[in-house]
Amino acid sequence: MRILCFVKAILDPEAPPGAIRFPGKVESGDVSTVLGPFEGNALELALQISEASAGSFTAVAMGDGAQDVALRKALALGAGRAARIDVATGFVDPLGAARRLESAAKELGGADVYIFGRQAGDWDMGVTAGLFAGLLDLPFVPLVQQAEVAGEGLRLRREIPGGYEESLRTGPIVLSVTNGPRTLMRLPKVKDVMLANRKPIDVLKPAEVGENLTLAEIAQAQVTRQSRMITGDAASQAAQLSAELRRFLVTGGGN
Amino acid sequence: MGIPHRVVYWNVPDHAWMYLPFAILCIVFAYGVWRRWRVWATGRRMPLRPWGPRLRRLLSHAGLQSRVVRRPLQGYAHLALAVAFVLLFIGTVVVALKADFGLPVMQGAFYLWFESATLDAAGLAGIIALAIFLVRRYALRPSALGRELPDFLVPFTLLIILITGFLLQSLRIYATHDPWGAYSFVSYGLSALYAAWHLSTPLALIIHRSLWWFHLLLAFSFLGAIPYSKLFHLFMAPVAILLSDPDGATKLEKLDLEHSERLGANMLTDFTVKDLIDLDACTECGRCEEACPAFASGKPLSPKRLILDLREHAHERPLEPLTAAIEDETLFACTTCRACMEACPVDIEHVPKIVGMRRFRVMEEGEMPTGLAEAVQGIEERGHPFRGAQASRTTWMEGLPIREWQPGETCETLLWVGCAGAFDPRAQKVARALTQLLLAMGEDLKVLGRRESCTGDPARRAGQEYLYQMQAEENVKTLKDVAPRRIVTMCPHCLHQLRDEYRDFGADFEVVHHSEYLQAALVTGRIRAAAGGRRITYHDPCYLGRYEGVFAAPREVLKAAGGDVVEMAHHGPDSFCCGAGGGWAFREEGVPRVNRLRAKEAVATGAEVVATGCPFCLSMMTDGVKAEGGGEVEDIAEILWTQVAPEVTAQG
Repeated sequence: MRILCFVKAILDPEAPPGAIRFPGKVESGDVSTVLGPFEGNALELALQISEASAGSFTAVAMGDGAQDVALRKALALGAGRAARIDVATGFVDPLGAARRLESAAKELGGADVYIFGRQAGDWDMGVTAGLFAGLLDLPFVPLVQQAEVAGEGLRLRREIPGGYEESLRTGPIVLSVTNGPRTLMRLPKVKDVMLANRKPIDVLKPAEVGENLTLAEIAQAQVTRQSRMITGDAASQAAQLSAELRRFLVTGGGN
Repeated sequence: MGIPHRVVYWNVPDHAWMYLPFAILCIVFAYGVWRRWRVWATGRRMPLRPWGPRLRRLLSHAGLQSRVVRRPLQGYAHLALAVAFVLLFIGTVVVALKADFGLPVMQGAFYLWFESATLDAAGLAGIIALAIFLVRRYALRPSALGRELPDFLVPFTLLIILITGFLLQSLRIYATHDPWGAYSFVSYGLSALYAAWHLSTPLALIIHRSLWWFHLLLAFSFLGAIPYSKLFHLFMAPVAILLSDPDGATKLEKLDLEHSERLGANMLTDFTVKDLIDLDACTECGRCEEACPAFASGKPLSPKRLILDLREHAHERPLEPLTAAIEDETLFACTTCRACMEACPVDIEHVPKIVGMRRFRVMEEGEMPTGLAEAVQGIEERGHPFRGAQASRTTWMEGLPIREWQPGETCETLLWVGCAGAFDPRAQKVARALTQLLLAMGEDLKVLGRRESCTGDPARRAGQEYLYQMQAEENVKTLKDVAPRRIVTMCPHCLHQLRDEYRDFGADFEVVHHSEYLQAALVTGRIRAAAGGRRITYHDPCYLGRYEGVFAAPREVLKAAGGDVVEMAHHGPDSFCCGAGGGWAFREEGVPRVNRLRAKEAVATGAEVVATGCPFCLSMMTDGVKAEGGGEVEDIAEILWTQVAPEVTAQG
């Protein structure tokens, strides 16, 4: 099976509060760029499918050189090829992104399986995979947690309340992958990491697509903290806490 | 009476037949040694110079058995047995020189005082020692000692050899009316019994001749068994001691990542010659197991079992991978505290083997326990192992009059805060207390702030040598740019890296632990502490004590802070790990937890305060002592600052 796995590196979601500031634009300071959390799940599933079908997969990212972190990780895990659509990193219009990815997918020769993480860990929209499937007129299965190669097709499992559902697909398909016990990204082997650092990353020219959405404003919430210790014996503490919570519910936390 | 002597083979006219079993013994022995040699020969060679420290350790640990006698009863019994057998061996060589080469060496005063009196004393000491061993193993039954058949046969056979030796000698004295018999005082006493029993001379001769062959064949069998049993430690323990790292193997070997055929150890050939000799040097005494915090807390690791499993693998399946012999869980249970290595009487180096095998599992197979993997990923992605940290590298120092070093500036004293000091809320308080102490001393103090990154120690101990080396290279480069006159750190893990392991990456800095620096400042009067008076017990961090040899300085600081220092059952080099080492600080641990075991000891001292000098120990001991109903747990810097602050205020 030919597989394309789309990955994205994002500003460290574990950066301490205030480390990333966005007064009008994003200021990342010293915060590092890391592979997005769901892209790790996507890579793991891409790897499993490629292993089960004795094939390989291509990892694709979109953005500037900072995206190479994600692509190197993909190469270390076993991606046969890595390509980056060279655009400036910044606010992403999902439809524009899907069109550029569609163009890149065609340039790379297309695939049987297109795999996304459930959502990018920074903008958290979670729609690009669905839009991409629409542009290619392909079926889309979101939030996949397990995939098995079944003959020429795939058997895909999703969690539903109280159980799971499985769907079968023979032919090209688009998936988005979420976290689960079977999609926990494995640790790459160090020799592969060292080799990955020497492998080339293809740079693709972005397709010319019109802007559908532009960023009008970005602003940071003002966080204020009010805290005090509740002291006294257990009964007194419970009474004070109860009164405090009632007051909070009535006033919404204000004084 | 003439010159004192005795006739060798006096009652054994057909003694020449003994060369047949002797030849068989030589063949069996040689084959046994060759079997083991071919395993050692596959090991990697390691540097041996300088010889001086190695020979000194050989004299101390093998000659004087200084580690064996740390347990006085069995230790001195072992020393006595060893000395006895060396003497008896020399005595036997003397007999051979006379009987086989006709040299007149077994006569006169030498015969009376050495061959007779001294060897009798040696035999008697050997019997007493063996009796102690047997009583201890089978009556007292300590759990660390095995009770398999070979465990019984070894001391029992030796005992029979010694007893039959006395019987032979006493029968000879009795039957020949040996005029010098009294010098062999034990045998002479036995011969007096035969006289009392009116043992007939012909019967004595028959018993003597039969017993002579029995004694000989038993002794030859025993010697032949040496290369096939734990008895081989007679030869291999001194070799293992001689080859042991003069610095105690505290520094892990720098792995050549580019050119190594395999990253880490998974075949016997990945081990050093020393590693492989260690397997045959093990005496199965179980002291490593008794000292091991992982074993004590029920984890699937016994350092003794690990060595014995590797020994079995080496001799039964030498070409198979080590994954077949040692489970991942066993390797990752180790806290790398080195208690096993400190306890081992023959200097077996367990921890480098464990980390070597971890390296393979982590770097070649991508295996790492949950929690540890996330911590290592944290180091890779953001330069510290604390997931979910709410602080930046400089949050802890807000409001304190210190600042980050800037390029182009000189740096007198650099405070290496460490990741714990920067990101762990509890350790941040230690960093603040230490900073205030250093400022009170008038130090020109700077920190690296955003330029500081994890030393990589947790990654290295976990087996992720690649990430470690990247961290080490980057940090050494940064420190060379800063070129501080000295580095002070409050983290023993950072200390060990910056002071020792970074030397393999070109580092050569003056690095001190804060306990050492504070102690020196107290001695020279740079800081003064108000009188205290609290009862304090001190927990030795493994990486400060057993790794860096710093035991006295923290205790001196506590005393200077007015503390009444009381010791726990395990302290100093014999200290017991808090459970954080080897990456366990970042893992979920089952029950019982190591820190609870250690906290029990701390609480048992009745101390009001448990002091330590490591942020990871601080965290583990705080949890443990709280659960055990003990008092406060504080870093030495906090305790000292409490006593110094009023003095600083008083001085205005």
